[in-house]
Amino acid sequence: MSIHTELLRMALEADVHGTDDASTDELVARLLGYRRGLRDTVAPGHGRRAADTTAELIAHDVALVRLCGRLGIDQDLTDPQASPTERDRLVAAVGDAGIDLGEHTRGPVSGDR
Amino acid sequence: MVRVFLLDDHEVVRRGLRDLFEAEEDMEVVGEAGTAKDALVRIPLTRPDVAVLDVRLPDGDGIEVCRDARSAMPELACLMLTSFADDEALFAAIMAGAAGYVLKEIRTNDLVNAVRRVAGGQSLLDPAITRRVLDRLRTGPTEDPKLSTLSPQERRILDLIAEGMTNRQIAAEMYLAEKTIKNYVSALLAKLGLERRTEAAVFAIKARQRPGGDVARAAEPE
Repeated sequence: MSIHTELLRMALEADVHGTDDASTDELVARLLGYRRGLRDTVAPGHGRRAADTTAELIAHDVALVRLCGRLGIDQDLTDPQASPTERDRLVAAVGDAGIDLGEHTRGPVSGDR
Repeated sequence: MVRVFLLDDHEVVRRGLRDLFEAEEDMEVVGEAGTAKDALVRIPLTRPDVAVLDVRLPDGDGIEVCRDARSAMPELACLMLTSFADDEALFAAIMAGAAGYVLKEIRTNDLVNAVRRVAGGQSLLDPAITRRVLDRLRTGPTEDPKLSTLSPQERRILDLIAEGMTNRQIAAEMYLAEKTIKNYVSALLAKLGLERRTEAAVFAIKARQRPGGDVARAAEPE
């Protein structure tokens, strides 16, 4: 299992912003907030540390998984055997559901299995 | 039996690792390479469970090998082995799907155990990153509105000021001239309506304590 997968699984278990109380709008707002945080994140070293950047990415993915769950979109971002482009597929699926998440400046992530 | 592949441009290192792993009853070195190119050819042919990959290579890096090899073999566990701590490489390794990242100064027993662990489907989590992830989840995505006036570079400098660094130390940390840092500090003080860096440090520490108050988080408006 990759570090990313294990962190994401742990984060989902520990997530204090679960889906029970949040509205869909709140889940979208939360995800957009994390996406803004990721927009300028290319790599640590130029203003960020690995721990911070990783935390931002995992928080984003938790929010994405939560929103997909709310929208009934099947996701396997937490599957160690998932496609390298699973995150992009989910963003597109959310878009197909009528929610524009905007351009995500980070390229495809092959570590999110 | 754990099938191990070795990638390192130094033959003596590969030899040492091979001897180390093959001394274990449950491990077998099924292949090795000295370049990224060779590794990407040999890994699919030898079908290892674990690839121990040197980060820096003459023709690329082990992180690219990890990413490409796992694209073809998602079940492959990649253990990155590096001579020195490199924050950027650590994050890149996580993004590439690495199962672990260890320094070459690791004790041999620990390395063997690390290989067993990733072969068993676990990953090697850095406690600092784990803690940061949990903290980040707790704070949520919101932040102090004042911080939105700062550029990513200014946020980073503010963060370092809060850690007590001098302009010279910040300059060294960010590979910039001290005078450039001084200009950045003046600009961020003006934006925050502050006069002294001590005030900036206090501001940054308070911002960190707010939900989502990660000063260095480079969020810009959409």
